[in-house]
Amino acid sequence: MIKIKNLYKNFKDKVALKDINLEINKGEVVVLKGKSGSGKSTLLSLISALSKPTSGEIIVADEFISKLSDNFASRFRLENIGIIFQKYNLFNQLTTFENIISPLIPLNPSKEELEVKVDKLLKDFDIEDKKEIKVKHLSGGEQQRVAIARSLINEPKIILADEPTANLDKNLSLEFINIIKNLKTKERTIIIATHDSLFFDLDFVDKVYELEGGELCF
Amino acid sequence: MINRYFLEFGLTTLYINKTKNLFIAGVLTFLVFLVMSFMFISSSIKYELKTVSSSMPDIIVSKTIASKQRDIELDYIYKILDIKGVKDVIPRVWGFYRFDKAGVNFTIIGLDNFDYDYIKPLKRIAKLYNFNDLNSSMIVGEGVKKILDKAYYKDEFSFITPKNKIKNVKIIGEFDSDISLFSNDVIVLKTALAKEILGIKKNYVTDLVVEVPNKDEIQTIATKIKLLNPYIKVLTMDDINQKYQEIFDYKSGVFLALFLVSIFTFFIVVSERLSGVSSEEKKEVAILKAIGWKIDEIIYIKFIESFYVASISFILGCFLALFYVYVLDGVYLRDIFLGFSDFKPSFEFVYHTDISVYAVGFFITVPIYVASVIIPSWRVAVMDVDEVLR
Repeated sequence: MIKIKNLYKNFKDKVALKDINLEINKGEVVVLKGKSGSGKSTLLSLISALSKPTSGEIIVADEFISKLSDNFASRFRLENIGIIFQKYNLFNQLTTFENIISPLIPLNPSKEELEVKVDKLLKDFDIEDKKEIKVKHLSGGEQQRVAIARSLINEPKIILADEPTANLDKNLSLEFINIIKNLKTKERTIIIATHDSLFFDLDFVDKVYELEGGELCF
Repeated sequence: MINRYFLEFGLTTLYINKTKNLFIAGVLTFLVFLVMSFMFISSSIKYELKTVSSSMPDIIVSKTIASKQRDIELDYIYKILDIKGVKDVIPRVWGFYRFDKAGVNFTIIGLDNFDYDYIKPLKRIAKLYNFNDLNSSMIVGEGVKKILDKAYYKDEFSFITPKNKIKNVKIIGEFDSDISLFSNDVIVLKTALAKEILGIKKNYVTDLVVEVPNKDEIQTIATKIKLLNPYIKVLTMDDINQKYQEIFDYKSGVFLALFLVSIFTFFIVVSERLSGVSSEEKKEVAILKAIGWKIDEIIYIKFIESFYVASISFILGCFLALFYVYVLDGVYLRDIFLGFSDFKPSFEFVYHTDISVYAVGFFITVPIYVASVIIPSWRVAVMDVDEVLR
């Protein structure tokens, strides 16, 4: 599903990622662990084609995404990837419904199709009663569930989560882990970048990679 | 097929930067209001002047000695009539009467039934009033009537003649001509009475109006009249139009200065937008890109957003300007355009605007603002947005 070969990423003079090589299969749950600044978020950003590598190759769903133009990269994300950000990155002034449908707007879906998809996600994440409420009025846990729902509205094959529990208490973090466990049953490939130890010994996690100073440690 | 979600989402996302959008909408509305007020007023005045000038006499002959206008002898009527191409010469009696109490000047016009139609805009008076009944009474313009009423001259007004005598004249009527700018400060009296009030001698008049059927001959005849006497001053219709235009252009210039200040303010807002995008706006664009929107789709949504703001501001600004100019009668601004005499005429602006006026107002505001939003958004959209999202 995801192949990374000899990947390097530099920010000016600073080496963010160095000679990364890894392979992730379809339906696997992978945890990228490491301290802040170790390169976890940079790696997720490259896998999602939000930024381009300095050198090396990233092949996601048989697509050389490191060579995609901005517009193709965007469409690639829309069709294949759902991203859950650490800070959720929601539109706080908009409602739950408006946030969740936002990725699909360019595709101009039918109203019925949209309603069915959104209602299912709202039900799955137990936020049905928050549908018309502005996101800024929701709790941290509810905001994260909205962010997850948004990342799933396009039915992505791959889900990337960047420090998903950094802003959550233990109960909400465990709740998130349950959501991930549930998503694994639906054959989604999930990569979680985290330094939260709750993720390290989970039975449904297939691989754990550690990053240190931009390098993979096995 | 139009993607209605874009239209709805564009409207919704205006809430993301609600305060900023409201501020910009306010500035834009004010700018459109100023621009459109100026255009409405100027098109009203131009229409008024055009109508007045279309009824101007072909040639006006007066006498000027030492740069001062003097009354002209009636004998010149026959001398001018001898010039080939002249159809008629009509004497006019008119002048200004200072009403110190109100600090204004009235325009006195002497009019007899046999020559009432030499000023076409006042023709209606002749239809409404019998000039034989005028004798020691007068018909006044709407503005004059208001001023006299305020000074408690309800039915009669006491003129002071140049011989220092009081002349009581009854007000028998009020007229409002189609051309309010022209007739507003006018008082119409019988010629003899007007002469007495203005101190014009028996065989003299203020000036002479010359009718020339062939308009191509006006300039030649004007030159011939000028040659009759070195003190004679000849004004053609074109000269008068030119003078009106100069007054209007001067007033427009004053407004232009005001207008430039507001345009300058607008461009400061625009350049502020172009030079930098707020972190909130950067984040908004970055999120859209991260969730799979293409650059052109981000630009499109920004276009819709800014078009909503600019269009609503434009429509609101137009309505405010219409209300201000045609309902509030352009209070304050009218003084800039019409305050060229002591008399402040209660001239009402007549709506006479075509679509091009709206088009000009639209094109100097809406596209500029839309561009000022789209360009920085495009800059952000083509950037590496990874950093913004962390």
